Amino acid sequence: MKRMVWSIAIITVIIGASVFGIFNLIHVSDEMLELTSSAQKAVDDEDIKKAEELTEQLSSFWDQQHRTLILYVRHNDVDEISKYLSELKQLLEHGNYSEYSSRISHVELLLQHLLDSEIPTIQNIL
Amino acid sequence: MLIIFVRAILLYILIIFSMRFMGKRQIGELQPGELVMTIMISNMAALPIEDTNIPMLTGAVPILALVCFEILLSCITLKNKRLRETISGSPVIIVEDGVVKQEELHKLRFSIDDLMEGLRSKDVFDLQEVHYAIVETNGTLSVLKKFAAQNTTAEMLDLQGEDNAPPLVVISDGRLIKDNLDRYGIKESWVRSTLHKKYLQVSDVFLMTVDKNNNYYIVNKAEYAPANKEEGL
Repeated sequence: MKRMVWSIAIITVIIGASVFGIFNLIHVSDEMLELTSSAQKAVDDEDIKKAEELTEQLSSFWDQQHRTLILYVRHNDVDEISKYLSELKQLLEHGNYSEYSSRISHVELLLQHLLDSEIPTIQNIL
Repeated sequence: MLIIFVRAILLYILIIFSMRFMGKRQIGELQPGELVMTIMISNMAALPIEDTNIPMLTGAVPILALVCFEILLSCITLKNKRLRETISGSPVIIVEDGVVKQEELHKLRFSIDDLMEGLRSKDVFDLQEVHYAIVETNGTLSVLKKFAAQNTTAEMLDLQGEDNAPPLVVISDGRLIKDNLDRYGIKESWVRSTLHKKYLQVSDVFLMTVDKNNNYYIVNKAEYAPANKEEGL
């Protein structure tokens, strides 16, 4: 009986932690996509100063969040996003805006892929 | 490499905890579902050790989930006979009243060689000695011999005797085991005085067993001369 209670408790904790992980990932992804979208718009509007600020915000937000993400997401996926984000500031400084836009698109794609991989759908399960 | 080392230790501890939590018996007596569980756990534990890109939770969570599921399933099957039979199967009688049930052997895909090997593992070398033979759900063979072939018991010879409780280990590698002393109501002072008569202390003893009648047996640690078995006072 005692083991059964502990089993139910452990399963509940696992499900709770998994749901929390998904919600956390959704929150991070939404926040990042909003920042990338704003940064892209700033570059399109040639407001480079704003783009730099947003890029800085993006990097610092990711630095805070990725430490939690690596606990339950494949490290390769997280490292890929970190790699692209690290290049953004230099691209802006050197005026390489087309490359900057390309990197931003990559980051958005990777974030979407991260989210799609973690949410339990029929395609993911099978 | 240090990461792999730490992960291996942590997962090892997790697996030990999981097996203890499940309350498993030795591998030879596992039910089919339990054997599957054991194999799956070992494979899952290997994943985060082999690939450090995989978070450790990817190994730990499925192990814990399966262990808990197994416990819940075993609690349910304890009360539900039909479910128990579905998951674990039922024992099958393959020799009944001395007659080999060939149809049951065929259904189990149990060959003559398997049958004879199973009987030999139960010290039965002649099929004619077998009254009943049953293949259990874990694949082992249980055998009831015919009366004429059974080992002689005290009851058959009408011998009188007492049922004695087995001796318990009260000193193990120089340490007193107080639980076992309490179990038989043996006093620690009696143990120490018994050892004192042999010029020994608790720390000098490798093994000491005592039964309910205070019969004891002492094995000294290697550097001392062996003690003799005596009856206690």
